[in-house]
Amino acid sequence: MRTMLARAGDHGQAALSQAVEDGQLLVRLAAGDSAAFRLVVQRYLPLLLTVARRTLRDETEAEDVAQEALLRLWRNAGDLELGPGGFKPWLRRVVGNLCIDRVRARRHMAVVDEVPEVPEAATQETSLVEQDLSVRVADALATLPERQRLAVTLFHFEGQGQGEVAQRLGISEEAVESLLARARRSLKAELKDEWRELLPDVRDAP
Amino acid sequence: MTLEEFGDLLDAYGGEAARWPDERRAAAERLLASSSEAAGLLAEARALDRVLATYQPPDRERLSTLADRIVAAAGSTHTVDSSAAENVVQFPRRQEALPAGSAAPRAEAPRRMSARRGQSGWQAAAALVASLAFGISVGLADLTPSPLAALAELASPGTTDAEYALSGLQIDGMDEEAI
Repeated sequence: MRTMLARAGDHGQAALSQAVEDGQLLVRLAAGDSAAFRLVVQRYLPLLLTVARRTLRDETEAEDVAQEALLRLWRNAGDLELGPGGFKPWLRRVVGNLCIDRVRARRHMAVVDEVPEVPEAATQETSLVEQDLSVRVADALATLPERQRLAVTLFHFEGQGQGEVAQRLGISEEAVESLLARARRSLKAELKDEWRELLPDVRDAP
Repeated sequence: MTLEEFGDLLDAYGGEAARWPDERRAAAERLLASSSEAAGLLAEARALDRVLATYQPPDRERLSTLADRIVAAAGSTHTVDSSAAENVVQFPRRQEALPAGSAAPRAEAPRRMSARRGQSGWQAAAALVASLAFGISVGLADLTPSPLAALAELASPGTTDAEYALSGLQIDGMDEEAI
């Protein structure tokens, strides 16, 4: 049985690999390579949408913000220096700033009547916790290689069967199982703080 | 089924028994009935399932449409296979390349660009006005005063970006704002 340490090591390797891949993509973006830009969009758009949606709670506005962040990456690729986290920290920061701008703009248009007289504290708290988790999940998914991410999306989030996923990806069912297992192990390592919170009896374990 | 095989099963398919392959489900359930360690692994898998379930991925079709829109907005309507270097098609760059090591502070960029824009506008307008004046003087063109007035206005220092945009003149780096 793999130990948690070994899995964390796998994840660290994956993160390093991601940073290297982003560095290579950045060089291509700076050279105006549209195919490289599409790869970046495909990898990070779901995460950016989730982050923006969490703050703005408006699908259209979230899409606008995600688009603007990615276009800023495109326009500024020649000037960027990536850290060990690759594109992700930069994109998240831009999305965060754009969301703050939009929320500030909304305040100027806020109507007092729209504020509910009885705040739904418990529901709101639950919702915020779930939204935080959803951002963490989107974050973790963005670190997966493309085929792993697609496999886990089809199987776990869209509920497709193993055979359907195999057909969609043009691979064998055994290969689907391998992709799913690698994806889920990465997610388990990346999200260990979150899922362990749901296990009261092991929460205090070292 | 061994504990390790059960762990692999959970890693791939999660903690919902209905999603396990039929041919392995019975063996997994037998192991579960006799192994507390297996039960512990199942609890972990189900906890991860609950965390994953908080995420609602964007609609795939809508996501694809948005991705296309973003790539198109970046300046091209098609992509290329960049693995073939000779076939790489570059987007038109909105940012004017600066010499190596001469990256100017972003805050200064709009002023530089405005100055360049104004200068090129004056030069273009002056050349056109001269051409038109010459044409009138030799009687080869029947120009009304309105185009001349429009050109003079276009070349004036007070011309706005919007007017330049409407005029069709290229405005480099208009969106190169600081992030």
